[in-house]
Amino acid sequence: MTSKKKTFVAILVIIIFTIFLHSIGWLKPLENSFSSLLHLGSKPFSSFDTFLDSRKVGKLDKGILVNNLKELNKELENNLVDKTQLELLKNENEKLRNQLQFFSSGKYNHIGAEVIGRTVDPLGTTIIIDKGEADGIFQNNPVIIGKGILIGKIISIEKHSAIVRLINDNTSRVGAMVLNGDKSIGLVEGGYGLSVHMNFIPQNEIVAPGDTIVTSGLTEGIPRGLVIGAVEIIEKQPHEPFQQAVLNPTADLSHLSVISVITHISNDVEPYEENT
Amino acid sequence: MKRILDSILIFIFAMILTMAHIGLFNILPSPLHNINIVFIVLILLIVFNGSGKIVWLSFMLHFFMDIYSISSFGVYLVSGTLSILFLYWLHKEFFTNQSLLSVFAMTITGLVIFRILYIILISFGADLLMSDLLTKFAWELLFTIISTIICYFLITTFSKKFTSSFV
Repeated sequence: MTSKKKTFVAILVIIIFTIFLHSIGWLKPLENSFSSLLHLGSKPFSSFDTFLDSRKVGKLDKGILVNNLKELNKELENNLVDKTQLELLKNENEKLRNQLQFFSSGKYNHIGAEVIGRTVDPLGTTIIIDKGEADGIFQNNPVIIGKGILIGKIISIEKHSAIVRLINDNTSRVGAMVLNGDKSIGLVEGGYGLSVHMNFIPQNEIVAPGDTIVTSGLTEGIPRGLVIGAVEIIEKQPHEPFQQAVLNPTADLSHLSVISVITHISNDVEPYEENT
Repeated sequence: MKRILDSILIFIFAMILTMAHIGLFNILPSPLHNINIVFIVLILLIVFNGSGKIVWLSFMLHFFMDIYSISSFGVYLVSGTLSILFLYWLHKEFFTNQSLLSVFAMTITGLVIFRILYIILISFGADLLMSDLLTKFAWELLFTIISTIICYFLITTFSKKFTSSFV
């Protein structure tokens, strides 16, 4: 056997051995410590990203741009960093207040978490949060923002972190309901991080642009009545049994900072109230 | 003792590089975030250092990336480590000099092998939209090549300035 072949086989054996150790769970403590260290290191990048996002708001219009520039110049004079941080805290406070209002109904047990990054995988649209198994989070727990706006669900958990698959991920599937006269049900699916569709809506039921889409409660672990978005376009072919709707998600899925994970749904959850 | 110290240094370096890779992925705008920092550093290390330890550094880096990935564990470990091992051999046998052409050819070859192995491994049991993936990989290839060449010029310029002929 040549030395090259030996090296190749040795590396392959070590890789297979590592995968084997991972699959039987022996690497878990090591992986948990490494991932805690990595989260710690990537947190400043995530905070910097949030800081950059906060400064992008309202830069589309020329008039707003000029005003923003003037405001920014003033802010620079009066300690820009302090002001931006205050602004961020205000937004965070507002989001938390909204979430508290939603949870005050007592229907759900929840855990607040901070978004610490996105996964580098080109396959999916996912985010990483700073709460995990040790905080009582389980796989498939729904994740929301604001007053009950669904953004995704937990797909993978570590001891102190978890990965959330967003509703616009291509493998995301959530049972949903249209708030129309028929209360049409269907399946909300993501489109490679670019769009969200609702499929399998019966052809004979009337769905109009602007109709609100909420969760139907038919997906395991996801309660009924969490807002997903609104219908934007209806795609209907006369020869097909189902129609499809393109949705406009209520949450801005590209700028998430504070979220809540619903960990337990009380048994006396009332069905979705139409007036909400 | 030296071996232990080397291993600790490789570990710390791998940690910092993974943090930078993940962090820049979050900060840089699309499609610029597709730059593969890990590959840039590994290729430049192979060209300018040439030590076999780079393969173990690659093993460690891709192990960390597997922890952070949503694909099955081992996808990055296998595709990343094997492609760097192949690049290391390529450098020893074919691209033996430190020319720009070597760096250019090694970046393309390395990334193409890495992504082919990656697609093969993730295609087991996954429904893939190839056009979307290939677009992302094309951006990755383009920006990684550009960044590697810029880094190459920076390194060669600064290393020339510090050689004895300039003193």
